[in-house]
Amino acid sequence: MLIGTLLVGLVILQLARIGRSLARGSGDLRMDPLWLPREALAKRVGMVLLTAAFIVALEWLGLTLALLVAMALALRLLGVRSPGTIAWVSCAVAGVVYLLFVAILDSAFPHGPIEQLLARLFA
Amino acid sequence: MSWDFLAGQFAAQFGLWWLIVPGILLGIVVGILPGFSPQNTLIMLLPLTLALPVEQAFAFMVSLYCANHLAGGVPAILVRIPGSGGAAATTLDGYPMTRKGQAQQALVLSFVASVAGGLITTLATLALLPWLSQIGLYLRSVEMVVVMLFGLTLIAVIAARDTLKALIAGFLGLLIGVIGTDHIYNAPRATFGFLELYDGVPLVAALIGLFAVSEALVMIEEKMIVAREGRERAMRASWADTLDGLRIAARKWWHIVWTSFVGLFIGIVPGAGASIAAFVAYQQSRLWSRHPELYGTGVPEGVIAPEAANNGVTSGTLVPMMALGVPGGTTAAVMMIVLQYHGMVMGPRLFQTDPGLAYGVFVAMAVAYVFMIFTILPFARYMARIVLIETTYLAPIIILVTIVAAFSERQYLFDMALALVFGVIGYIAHKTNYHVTAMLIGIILGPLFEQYLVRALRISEGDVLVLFSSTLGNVLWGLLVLSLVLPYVRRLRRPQTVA
Repeated sequence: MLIGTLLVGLVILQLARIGRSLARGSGDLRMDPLWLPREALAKRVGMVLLTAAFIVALEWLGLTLALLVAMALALRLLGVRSPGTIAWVSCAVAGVVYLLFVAILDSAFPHGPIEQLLARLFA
Repeated sequence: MSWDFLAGQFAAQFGLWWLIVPGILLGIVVGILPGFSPQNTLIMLLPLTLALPVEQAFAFMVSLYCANHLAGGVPAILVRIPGSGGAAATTLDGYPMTRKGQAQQALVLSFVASVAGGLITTLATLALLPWLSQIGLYLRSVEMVVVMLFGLTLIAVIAARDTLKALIAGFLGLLIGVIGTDHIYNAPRATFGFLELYDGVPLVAALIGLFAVSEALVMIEEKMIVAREGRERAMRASWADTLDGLRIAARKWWHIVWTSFVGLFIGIVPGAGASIAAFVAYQQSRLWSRHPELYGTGVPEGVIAPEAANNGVTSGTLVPMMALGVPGGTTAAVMMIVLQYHGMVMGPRLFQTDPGLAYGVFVAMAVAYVFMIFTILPFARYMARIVLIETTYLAPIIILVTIVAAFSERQYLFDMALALVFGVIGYIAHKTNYHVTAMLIGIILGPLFEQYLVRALRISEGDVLVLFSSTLGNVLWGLLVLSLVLPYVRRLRRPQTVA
């Protein structure tokens, strides 16, 4: 209650400060810092959406496959063009994460086809 | 405790290098990865440590624990992702040093401060153990309220550039810290119906989101992490930079000593941890500096203070466990399980019944620190190269791997989603100049502050004056007021001096 009241008070002060700078003509309500530079905006939004999709897909695809796909798409989104580079970076990251999180630390990540196959191979 | 006894202990611990070195290497890996804590790793390794003789198990566990505290600073410096809460304050000056092309120096400073801080406080603990164990008895909830306020005042320190925005960020952090069950009635508070939030906002998810994800979203717009003007310097980095870092650390030896003792004293208090120690040490370091205005721009003292303090905590955490039988933190609690499994009874009698083990734990820690500097220092040069990787590769790796790491603390997919939400909040805060560190201070220290405050008020049946009822508490209040007033007094005096 106390923290919330103080926070509301501070926000009102900030709004008053913004209002004052608007009245003086020294400020504006544009949100440019959030969007600029424009060429990075699509990459940023894309990365957030891709990460959200990765979290959702994790339950169906399992950690390794979901990460492999997400990594490849993310690299493509950020401008890597070479299919070879995309493939080896994605495989390396997914492999290291599998080794560390699933094979060594035995974290309770959802298991997908790759984890099941590897578990059968090394069982 | 004779010199012969101590020499024998040191010789015995050096003989356990085959356990200490793997412990250090594992601790470094676990420390670098956000989301992994030493306690979780030690729990997973319980089958191994329970099978080992107790002296050997302890040599391994303390090596892993200390190396973990040291390594948390590595990602904090290189990519502004603290490996643990204790390294969050390191980002404030460590990352700006990286941006200037001084990543290698920053890493060396962090390693030397961590090792020297840890070693000095461990040796001090060995010498002063009977007296240090009493400190925990004097620092009760009333005094701890003031210690927490020392940490929280860092919000005001950060606020130096834009007071209102930093205060809003800090109070938002405090508000987020309120989420969970309350400390009196265990009633859910602001959990929005999510069972996953009943234990409060998970620190790892907040840490990963506010620092790692948000920073990666920002770095997309640049080719490399290092600013253009520092790029050439980073590319030319050589062993000379390691030596340069060592030279700077040697010049700041007194800074390492006193900030490590801040960590030791805070570490002795059960429940208080490396995060509080690092924030308090950073705040005090800035306060007593001749150039406080340079903090946050990449000054060596800003790296030394939090790193020396969060390693000073390591020996302090074990003091209440060994001397009083009260674990000073979760890692100490796991270590206590191993001791109890071997039939050891913790407390003052242990020093008479089994001095070899009681003092041996701290000797093992000192030996681990000696091994640690030789293990990690040569790697500084190669670790610093990470900042030369293009962000096209680095950003997706950081975002996706740290989001995966958010899962490991509690094993909830919910935490991964929460980390992403914090990432977006952190990005907006970053772009609109609301300080994410201020927010994190609120999230980390808010619940602890509330816990100590509520405990003090319950003891006094609601009488607020209890906060001013102890001599030590009042001394701490005085120091707190002094630390808040001093910067203004200095600012007032500065024009007169110039004139």
